[in-house]
Amino acid sequence: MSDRKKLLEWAIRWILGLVFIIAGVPKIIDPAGFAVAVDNYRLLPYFIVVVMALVLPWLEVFIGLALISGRLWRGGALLTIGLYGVFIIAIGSAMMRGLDIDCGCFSTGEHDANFRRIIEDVILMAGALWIYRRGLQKNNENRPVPAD
Amino acid sequence: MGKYWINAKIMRESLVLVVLAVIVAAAFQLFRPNSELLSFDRPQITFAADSLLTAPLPAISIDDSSAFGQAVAIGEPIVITIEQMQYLLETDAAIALDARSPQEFAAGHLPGARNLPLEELYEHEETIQKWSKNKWLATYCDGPPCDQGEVLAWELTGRGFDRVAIFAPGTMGWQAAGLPLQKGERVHE
Repeated sequence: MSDRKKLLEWAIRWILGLVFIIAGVPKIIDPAGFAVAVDNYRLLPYFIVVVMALVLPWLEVFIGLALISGRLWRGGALLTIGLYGVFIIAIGSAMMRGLDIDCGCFSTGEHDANFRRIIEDVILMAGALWIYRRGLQKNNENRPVPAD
Repeated sequence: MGKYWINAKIMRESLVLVVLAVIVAAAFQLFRPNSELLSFDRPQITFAADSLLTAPLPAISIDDSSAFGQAVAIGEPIVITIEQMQYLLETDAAIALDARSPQEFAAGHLPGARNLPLEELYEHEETIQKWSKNKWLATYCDGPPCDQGEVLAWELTGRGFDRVAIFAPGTMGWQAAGLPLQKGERVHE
């Protein structure tokens, strides 16, 4: 049972990691295109849009590498949960405002800020939450007991 | 101990990843070959000359650049202002094409505009081919930074229309200039 959970944890880390790397690399290559996608949400000032367009793709790649390699992966899982929370809110708000835009999730140019993307993000976020909880339990178990 | 959802070690790990991303992103932008630094100001739009709208056909090449840094020549869409759009609509010299979704169109569109969402482009090929090539096709969406109007304009240019204009200020610019939007579902096919 424990082995099965271990395997599942490993599989989720690899899936999340690969999704992040696949999502991040095209945006690193075309930051201007990604900036347009972020700007289209009309949620942030342009200055912050540009900062996000430059930094977020690298963050995605580093989170992906952390999850796959197992180094800093708990921190990566925490950031994954936070990022998917932000993505879900952003896409949801675009849908509520009737915006027909590119979600900026993977390659740019598709008008796909839609319900399907939200479902995908919720599933991935649930996976991240599960591995994070497991990581947290292990982390707490390994912690030395305070002297008092 | 298990009740805590976060601890200092995990916070530190997250911070390391964020700092790493910021450093590498900055270094990559500054040092990668052939890179154009992204501007922190929204790109400005260059509009077409008024004379272009009244000419029988667009000039072969005008000394101007479009919003996208390319020379404006035959077979390329031009970018027009609010006044130019008004002029085209008042003189019945243009068909206004709203490239946004039907819901957005219903919430408010330019007077007399037709709705042609990009996704539906291929469903309306026959109708599009029936449009007069003597009229301007003026495409638009919300206004910067949306790009549906621009993409639609290039699609129409590719279908052999010479007189294609991108109304860059879009519905938001139109409204901001105190001009009325029409509400209601589209009635055309």
